[in-house]
Amino acid sequence: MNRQRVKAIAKKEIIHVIRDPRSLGMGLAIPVLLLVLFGYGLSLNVDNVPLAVWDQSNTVTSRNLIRDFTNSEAFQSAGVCNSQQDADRIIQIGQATAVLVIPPDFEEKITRHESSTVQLLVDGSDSNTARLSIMYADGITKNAAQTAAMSLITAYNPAMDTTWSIIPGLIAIILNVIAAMLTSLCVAREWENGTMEQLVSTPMRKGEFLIGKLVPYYIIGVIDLIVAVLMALFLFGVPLNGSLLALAGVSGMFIFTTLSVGILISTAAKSQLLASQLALVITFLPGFILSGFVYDIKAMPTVVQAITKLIPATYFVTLLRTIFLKGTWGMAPTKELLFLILFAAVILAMTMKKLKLNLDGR
Amino acid sequence: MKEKIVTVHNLTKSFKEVQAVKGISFEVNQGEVFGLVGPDGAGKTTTMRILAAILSPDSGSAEILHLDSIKDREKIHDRIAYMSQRFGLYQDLTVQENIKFYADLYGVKRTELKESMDKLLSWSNLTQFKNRPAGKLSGGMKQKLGLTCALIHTPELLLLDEPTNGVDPVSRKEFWNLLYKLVDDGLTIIMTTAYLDEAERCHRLAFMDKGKITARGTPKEIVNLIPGGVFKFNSENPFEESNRIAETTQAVSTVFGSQVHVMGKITAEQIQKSINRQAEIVRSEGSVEDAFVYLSEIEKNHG
Repeated sequence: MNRQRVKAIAKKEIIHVIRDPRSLGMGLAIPVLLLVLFGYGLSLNVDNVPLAVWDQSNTVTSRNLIRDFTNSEAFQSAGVCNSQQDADRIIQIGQATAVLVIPPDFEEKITRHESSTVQLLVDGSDSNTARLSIMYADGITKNAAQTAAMSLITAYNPAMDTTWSIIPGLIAIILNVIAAMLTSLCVAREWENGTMEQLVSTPMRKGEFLIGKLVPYYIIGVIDLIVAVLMALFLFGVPLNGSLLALAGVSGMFIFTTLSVGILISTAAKSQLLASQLALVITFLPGFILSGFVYDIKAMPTVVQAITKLIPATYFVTLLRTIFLKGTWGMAPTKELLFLILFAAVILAMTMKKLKLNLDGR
Repeated sequence: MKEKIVTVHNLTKSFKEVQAVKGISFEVNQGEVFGLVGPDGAGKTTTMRILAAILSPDSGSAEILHLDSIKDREKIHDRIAYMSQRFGLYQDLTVQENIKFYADLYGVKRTELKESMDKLLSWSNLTQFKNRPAGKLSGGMKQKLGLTCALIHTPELLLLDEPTNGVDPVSRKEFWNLLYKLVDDGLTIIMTTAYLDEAERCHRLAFMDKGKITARGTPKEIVNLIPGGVFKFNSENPFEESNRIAETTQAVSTVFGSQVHVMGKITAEQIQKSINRQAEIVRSEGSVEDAFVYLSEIEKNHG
């Protein structure tokens, strides 16, 4: 291994990135953009659902309940109604998404410590909002009536703020795609531009070539990671309950793993176009759908569950959520970290085998 | 007797259905400019890639600096320079950065780099462009930069694959002057070209056609392969008359501008009879170009 050669390749690669606004944009701007877009856009919270009220009781207790609703972040007042027809109409014209109906005997029953039933009419055309509205309403009425304690206690994310669980996963998905995309071009480009023919005629060795190629993109990946974590902490307010060291270690390994995937794709593909498309399909789709980021892995068919275990992003999503939200770093994550190391080793071995520093077979 | 530094023996190479090189042999001596000349698709580039030890032949052997082109790949790479057809210049790197990059790949010491870079830059007249991106150079300057990059580690053998392809005539002449200076310093050069006027500038050459070497020798020896010299006459319808000669006689006929060149077993009277007019026919020694036209026609008729 000749350090002068490794340095020369790394330096050249850095110049490519710095002088090409597109690759600089892909490396640094797109991750930030994706994080902002998805961070806000993918939020599964509902807030300020317009709520109309049909208060048949019109007492102190019922008004307190209404206040509990409108003071919560989930609902905002959207008028009153006085009849069933009125309630239907308000939902139909879209003035309100939900109508709270309080029965005439509400206060009476509560003071007698009996349970009273309030009704929530919900616009089901947006089933997600409807489901979440019911969930929130349920919580509010249970607290207000001070009947039995809430049957469900949500751990780690007490506010059930989905941003908290989305952001760590999102960081994983974005790093996964960006890192693979970055390296996916770097070997294919040399072949396409004809520079590879020149390179293979020099005394350069495979290892020097690969390390020289990986180093600059690893630096970009780490910058992306730092920016993403800072955004998670300060822009989205996600708490970091685990150790920073654990976060750095796991992420550092993951970036290396997915850069390796990119470089394998770049080595195997004959053109830059094919390489970048392959990188996108291979990393983004499984990362998004099968990693447990959006869909619960436990709810998938057994065969698909087995496939998810072969995807590095699955482990990274789990690890990041664990470190951010649970703060634990027990026995379980070591297994996942080991998988990442093994995965990178296999991919790099395949790359070494696939990479030919000559024109044979071309 | 000069030392042989390249020995090629019975080399063959096929790509799928196409047999690019069909058993060629030649030798190159220390300190000469050896030209592989021939039309596109003759197998010149394939041969050069085998000599550069970046492509394995199917059979036969190539010894470069007494090293085997397959077994000693890495040792060969240390000692030779290969300039591919599209030399691997990085368009976004400056002239200086490109040179430094190749210097580092070849392990040129930092202490020596400055001096040899300055020397090569002024030798190739690129000093004033040293901070210009390679992509913004003209074709001729790009070739000179490629040559500079290839020479930065002072190789013992220089392989040039169509170095002057697409370069304007003035730059080509300048490029050749640079090459001769290198040869004066003892460097051996093997180059390919499709330009026959360039072939005459080589010390020795081999004519390649359809994967085979059909003739070899010094330019003079090649010219002497035309039996009985070349008959030349001016014509107002050169193509028409040339075709008529080719159809009605055994001779090879070709057009140079408004001039028709006729070679082979023929007399001036037979030519006049064929074109049916008293043209003023001059008999003279041919050029390398005449020889190659003659040889490839003969090859076609036999093959």
